[in-house]
Amino acid sequence: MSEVLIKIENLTKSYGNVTPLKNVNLEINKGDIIAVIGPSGTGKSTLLRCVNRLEKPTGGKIFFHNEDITDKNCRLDIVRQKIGMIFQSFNLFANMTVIENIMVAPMELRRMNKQAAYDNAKNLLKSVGLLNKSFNYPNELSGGQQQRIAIVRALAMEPEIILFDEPTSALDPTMIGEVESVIKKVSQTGTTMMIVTHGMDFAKEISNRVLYMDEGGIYEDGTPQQIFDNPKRDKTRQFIKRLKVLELTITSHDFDFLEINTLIEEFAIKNDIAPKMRNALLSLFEELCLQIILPVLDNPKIKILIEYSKADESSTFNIKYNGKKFDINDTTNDIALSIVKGRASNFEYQFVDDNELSNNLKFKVISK
Amino acid sequence: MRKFFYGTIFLICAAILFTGCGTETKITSLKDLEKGRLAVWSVSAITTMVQEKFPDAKFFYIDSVGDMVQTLNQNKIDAFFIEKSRANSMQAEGIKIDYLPEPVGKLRIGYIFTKNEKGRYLCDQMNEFLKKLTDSGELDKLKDKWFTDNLTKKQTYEKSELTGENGTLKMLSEASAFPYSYIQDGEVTGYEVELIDKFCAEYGYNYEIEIVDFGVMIGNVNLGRADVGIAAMQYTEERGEQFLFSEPTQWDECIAVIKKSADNSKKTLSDFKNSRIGCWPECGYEVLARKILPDAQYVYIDTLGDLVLNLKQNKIDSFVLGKVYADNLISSGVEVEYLDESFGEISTAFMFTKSAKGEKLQSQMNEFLKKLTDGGELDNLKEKWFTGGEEKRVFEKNKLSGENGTLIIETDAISGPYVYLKENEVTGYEIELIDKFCAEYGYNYEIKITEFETMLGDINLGKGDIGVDAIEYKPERGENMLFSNPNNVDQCILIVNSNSADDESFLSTIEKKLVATLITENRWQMILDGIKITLIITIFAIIFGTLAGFAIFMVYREKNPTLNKIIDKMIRIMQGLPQMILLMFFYYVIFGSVEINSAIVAVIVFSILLSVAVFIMLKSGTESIPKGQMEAALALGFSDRKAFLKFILPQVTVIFFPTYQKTVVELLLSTSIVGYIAVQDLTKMGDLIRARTFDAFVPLIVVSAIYFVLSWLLLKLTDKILTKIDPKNRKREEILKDVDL
Repeated sequence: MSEVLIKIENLTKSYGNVTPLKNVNLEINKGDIIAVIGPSGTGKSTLLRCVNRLEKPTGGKIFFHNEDITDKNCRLDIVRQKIGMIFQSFNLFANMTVIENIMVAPMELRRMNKQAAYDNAKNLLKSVGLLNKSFNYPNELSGGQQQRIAIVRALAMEPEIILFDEPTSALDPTMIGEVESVIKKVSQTGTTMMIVTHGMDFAKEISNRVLYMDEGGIYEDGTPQQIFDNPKRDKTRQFIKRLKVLELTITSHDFDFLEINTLIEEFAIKNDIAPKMRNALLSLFEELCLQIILPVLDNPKIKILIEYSKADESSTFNIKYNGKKFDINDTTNDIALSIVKGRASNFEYQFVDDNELSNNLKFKVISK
Repeated sequence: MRKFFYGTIFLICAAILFTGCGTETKITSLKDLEKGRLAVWSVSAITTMVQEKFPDAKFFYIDSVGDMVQTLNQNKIDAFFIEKSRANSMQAEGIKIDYLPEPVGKLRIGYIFTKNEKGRYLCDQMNEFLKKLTDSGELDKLKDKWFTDNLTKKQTYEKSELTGENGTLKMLSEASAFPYSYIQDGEVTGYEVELIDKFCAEYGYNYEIEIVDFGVMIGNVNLGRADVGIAAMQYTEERGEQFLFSEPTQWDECIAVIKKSADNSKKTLSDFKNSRIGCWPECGYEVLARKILPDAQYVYIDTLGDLVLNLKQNKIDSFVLGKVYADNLISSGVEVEYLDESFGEISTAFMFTKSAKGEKLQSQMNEFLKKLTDGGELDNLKEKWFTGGEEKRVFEKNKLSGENGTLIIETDAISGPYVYLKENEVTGYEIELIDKFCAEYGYNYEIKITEFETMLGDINLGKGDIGVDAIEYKPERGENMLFSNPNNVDQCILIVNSNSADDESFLSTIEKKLVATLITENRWQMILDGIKITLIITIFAIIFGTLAGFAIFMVYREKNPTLNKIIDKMIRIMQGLPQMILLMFFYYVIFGSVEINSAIVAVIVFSILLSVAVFIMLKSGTESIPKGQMEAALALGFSDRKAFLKFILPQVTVIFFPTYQKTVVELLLSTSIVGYIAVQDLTKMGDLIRARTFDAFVPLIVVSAIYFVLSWLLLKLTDKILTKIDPKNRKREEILKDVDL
């Protein structure tokens, strides 16, 4: 059982009328390499920045080695010496050379003598292949070089945990590789790491734990295999699979057919769905909903969920409806049924009694 | 640097070039012409006479009076010589010339006759005739008529009835010697002509006058082809051998004609009825003048020096002041004159604070003045200071015990000869009085030089004990101050310009003015002292101001809400006040009742002004550095203050250095207002010199040039500092000092 390095209890952070984090709870163990993923604006960076108190929580507590760092008497500067941070915009000190950037913190804060600091810095630079840039100023270097040096600067302080706030988001694709390889090397040293990133593949490769953040907190927490390959919850899944979702609701026989059609078309256009797929969806809606299901319901309540995966350009169609048990195979409208069957596969039907929308049908959409 | 060098070379060349074109010297007597450039006719009695009188002069031979006048006005000659009568007639014609009253010599004027029997006969007759007219007094009457003052009046004479029984005389005349013989209405007329007419009537001749050239006339008379030559001939020995000269018909004088100066001696006060009269604002001089010249346009000008300047530049026609001032100006070489008529009397007095101490001083002073008046000493003092030359105006300072205290004497030191600055010491009529007064009553004294208004304020508040400034005795002011009895009573007169300013060579007078500004009375020392003060104030203000601005900013970073609000408000207030107001506020209000060196007040005020600028630079500079670097420093474990000092401040400094340089140079130049609170900085020294030399141009140019050089030096110095502090200028060895690679 690993030692708990950081414990986050009921963390809440709000700015004015926005509250990205609501009652978040998390334990970070020593040796963890945590990848934090999720859509924009869900509080990933906020969570990260609360850990080293660059953001001040509006509620809750954070413990570092059982020391409450949210307490106002806490010596933050000392705590921070053990927590490293890498920024999206590198943030090297513009008035110092590369070598000085790395030497300055150990010399000033850990009282290291100049020679030792220099030797240490030299070795670190060597390990990332940038020793020849020792006397350059940050503005003379590319983004990838600056970020590698930023990582080395953090390492010079021998921190217990390093926080990475979207380290490669500001880099052009050619440089992402060099930075990722440095991060990978760091991950192999046993240092605890927490990385907010949009690079799924990389996250899967180096992390031992993934947090998907949504709805004001940690929406799902699991191993890389669990999250990336078998996401349990809907939003996780939608995110991972880059799913685009359309929800439609019908509550009466006299619903506006044209309106629903338009919604489907707009959804298709917005998400660049191929015309064949779009036609399939339109057709499926008409046949399945209008022709087969609606007629058998007195007080219809239908919910349709169309999920389109940008990743593999496939769609799933999920329709839930009320009323007594009705399998579409039992329909009298053979023509409609065959059309439907022609455009769908992998039918799954369930009847869940205690749900209002007790009938639940799911299938994959075929577009020829 | 290069441009400066070439500019100086250019100026020197121009000066050399232009010095050729006429120097201006003031000619007041024949003595002044001894080595001058003089013009005369090629051949004349005058020529010989003048050459004998001025053997060392340089001569130009010009045979036309018109050319002589022109050459004179172009400053190519200093004087030309003609007969006085001719000069008078030229003036009457409106030609602008003047002549020295002292004649070079007398000219004997007469007729010439041929040296033969007939000529001898005629000559004897003429002499007989002249004797007769002289005895009867008729000749004098004729002279009065033709040589009248009113030269514009057309003179005529009645031609006599001539029988011609004894023949017709042939006469030749040049007819260009007014009023001897000249042409009027197409006929020859004049003194000599009327005389000859009467002569012919008397001796039964008829006559014909032919107008010919001088040379022709001489030749013909010589040869006997003409009988008489009429041309205001001047007798010389040489001529006496060629012709027969009659006895003198007239005596004339050879005079030196010089350039015309403004002829003021004939003017009276009423000539200035509608003119522009300069005067000090709120002064008795104006009041007196207005009583006599109510319709004139009165122009308010603050200082004596500026009154003179405005007069010289023709911005006013005259100014009203006291006779004492006027005499002093004239004896200092300023070219002014004053009209004899007085507007009335003006008294000057000392000023005291309205307090017990002031009243005591007032009664002591009055007692003292009475004593000096009764003993006659006061008159001696007046004579010494108000008449005579600058060399006499010294006095021995008394050894003062100061047992009864030290008095602060306040003055603006620009009212000579009452109180003025000489060789860096304040002296003058009133100062000598003060010195003797203090010796008598056991005081010591300190003199403080300040502006007039500041002096009034100080005396009012009791910061100064005695105001000494040829202050006009105005008992009505007695509500706020006390006056001694008058220490002098002067006449209020009108002062006017006394030289013509046209055709002066500009650069040739620069040399004179430079000498007056810098060398006379060692005035360069005053300038040096002024530079010292300016630099001291500037440098201390820079040091304190920068440190203070920095300190305030560091406090601001603590983000204490109340403190920061106060700081923000104070910064706003300071930004909204003019520097002069701030300076006076500190001098009069904050340090009003405190004994403090004014220079210190100046340093304080300018430090505050600079600290505000530095604060704003730091604040906006810090805000412009991307927040990320600060966060990175914090994330590494640096405290806010350390992170700011190590990473942010160095960058802000480099970014804002040019602005800082500019601000610092502006501070140097802004110190020029400290004269207002009695600090003798460079500008004030320039003003004091200007008040003595009555020339604005050179002192201002000199002072400006010095400020320019000082600010240039300041910029160069700060540039050097920048190269030292810019991190990007460090060498590798510097960065890795004490480290083995």
